[in-house]
Amino acid sequence: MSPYHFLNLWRNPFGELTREERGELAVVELGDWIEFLADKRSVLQFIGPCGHGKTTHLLAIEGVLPGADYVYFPEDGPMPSVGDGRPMIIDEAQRMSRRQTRLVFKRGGPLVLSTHVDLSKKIIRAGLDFQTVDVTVQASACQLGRILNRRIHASRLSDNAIPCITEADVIRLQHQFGGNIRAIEQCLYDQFQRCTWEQTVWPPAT
Amino acid sequence: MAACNLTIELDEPSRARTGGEPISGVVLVATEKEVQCKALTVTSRWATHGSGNIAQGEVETKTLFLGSWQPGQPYRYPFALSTAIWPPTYYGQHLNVSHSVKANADIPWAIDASTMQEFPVIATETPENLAPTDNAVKAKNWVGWLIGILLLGGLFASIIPLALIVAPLVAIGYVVYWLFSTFLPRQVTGEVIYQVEPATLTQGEMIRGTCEFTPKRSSTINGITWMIQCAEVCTSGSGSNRKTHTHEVLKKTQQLREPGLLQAGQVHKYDFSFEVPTSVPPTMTLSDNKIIWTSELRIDIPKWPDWARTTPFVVKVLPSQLTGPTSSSNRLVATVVEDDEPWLTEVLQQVVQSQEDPERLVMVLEAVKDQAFPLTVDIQGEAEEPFEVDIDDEGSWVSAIDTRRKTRLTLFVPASIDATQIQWTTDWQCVGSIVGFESETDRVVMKVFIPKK
Repeated sequence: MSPYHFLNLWRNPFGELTREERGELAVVELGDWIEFLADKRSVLQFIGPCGHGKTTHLLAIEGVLPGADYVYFPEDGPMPSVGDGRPMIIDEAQRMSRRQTRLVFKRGGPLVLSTHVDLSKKIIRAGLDFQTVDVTVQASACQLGRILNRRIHASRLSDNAIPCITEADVIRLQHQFGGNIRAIEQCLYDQFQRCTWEQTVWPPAT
Repeated sequence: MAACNLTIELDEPSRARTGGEPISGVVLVATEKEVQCKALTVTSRWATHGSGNIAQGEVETKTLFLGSWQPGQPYRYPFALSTAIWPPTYYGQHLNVSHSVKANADIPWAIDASTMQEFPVIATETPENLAPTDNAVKAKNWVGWLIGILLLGGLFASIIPLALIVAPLVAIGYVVYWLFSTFLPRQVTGEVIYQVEPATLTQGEMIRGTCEFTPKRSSTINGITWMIQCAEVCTSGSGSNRKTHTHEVLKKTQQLREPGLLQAGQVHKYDFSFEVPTSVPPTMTLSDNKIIWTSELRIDIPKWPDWARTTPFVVKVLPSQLTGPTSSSNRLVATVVEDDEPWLTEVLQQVVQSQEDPERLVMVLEAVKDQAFPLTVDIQGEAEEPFEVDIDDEGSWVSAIDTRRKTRLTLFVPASIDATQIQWTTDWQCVGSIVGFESETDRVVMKVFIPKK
């Protein structure tokens, strides 16, 4: 018997998701960005440290841009080649070599980048238009609540009631972890595991 | 919102399937408007969930229907699918493995409808690719290693000038590691011959080890320990976001030698063993999600690097046929099962394994309730009436142990047998049936009918 069934869930909602599911469950307003990316000279860059949702934004955009190519630059190991296809989504774009960056920008947009460093000077030098999204700007309590509750819904077992994260829970988590969504999810994962093994109410009363 | 509503009803939904056993059921479809369906498919699958990157596999997919559904009309589509032989269902801290049937209705120009239903699977076979490891610690030819590294460094140096700096650093790093892990401890212990066997074993089997060494000089040690560990090791993310999550499932440490003096020139030999419980998870390797078994021998030397070796080993699942389609029907006979010791062993293991899973325990007990087993046990003292079992007959309770199976029992002895007369009797023979499991004391509860003639 699954330990999660007593909460009418089939898994811990805050565990790892598949790439597709991450894109599906992302809570991001894409409308303006998609409009911007209609221009062939456009570059949209998401800047911020690990755990703040850069890749999640990219996966959400990939879901609504049919035919977009997705390239991830790993920290080590062989570097992938970036094709000529557009729109092009590049994860960890700061790891591209100088030559690769020049070639990618020379080929033009639409480009969607996630990066730890601001590439705007290079984009301007290539004569492209750009928008920068700083993912460290903390999501509102309402938006974070939607992100977390969406994950709970995606783990629902049947139509019966499921637990949910309240606004008070969200404010407490933001106070503790700021905008680091990955750290929030890790905290909730551990808390959820404890409650399921002890068969106690989740979320626990503060 | 999806154009139609799907529901899966599995036959015997809570019964654990043995890996590979078919699962059957029916998909129910309800819709409030006419819906065109390109394909209604059902798929049996398994997937991990938890802290690690998801690993998953599809076993069998069948298309049940294509065409149109009319509103207000109930539709039923029976199905039967194969289940995966491996991995077994598992629920842990960072790693979970679930088996499920997923139904999906492909609706053109609308959101597809889908649903899934989980079911438990017990594995009876372990894949061969869980490569067993060589557990013998052999004397290492460190000179060979060093020469090899220096040669490799030289090769790099001739190709890339940067390697002129990197190669010596790598070589120095290796030498420092070797110095602390092997050379310095060996100055105290001498050459240690350490071996653990087998490299692959089954739940319930014994892993045995030996360790022999002759200290070069007399030294005081803090002790020698042998540790068995089972851990979930799951990795999430990739590249710079890669993170490993570890959770200890089991850790048993045996003190092979108390703190004291090791005399120079004296041979020290230790034999040790550990019986892998039947209720613990087997070794699993599912991409980034692993259950790893290791043993570690440590000679704790104060103010000096310890001598320590960690060796992995593979634990395979206990072959079980209890819930299998062929065996269970053959076994369910309301008579004494004569001369079938392996069967009782298997049933007892199944009961012990099910202690954390009340549904499975009920299922196992139900399957064997009409069977009576010949028993040979050592009777201990009186026991309290187990909380979990309710027997109306007149009689008393005693503790017993089945020494051959290393299983602790609580026996209900009928009033016709004088319990005081049999207390502390060894090799007492009787016939009894399994009626429950006492979770507080980890004992299987059996009801004795008659002493065996």
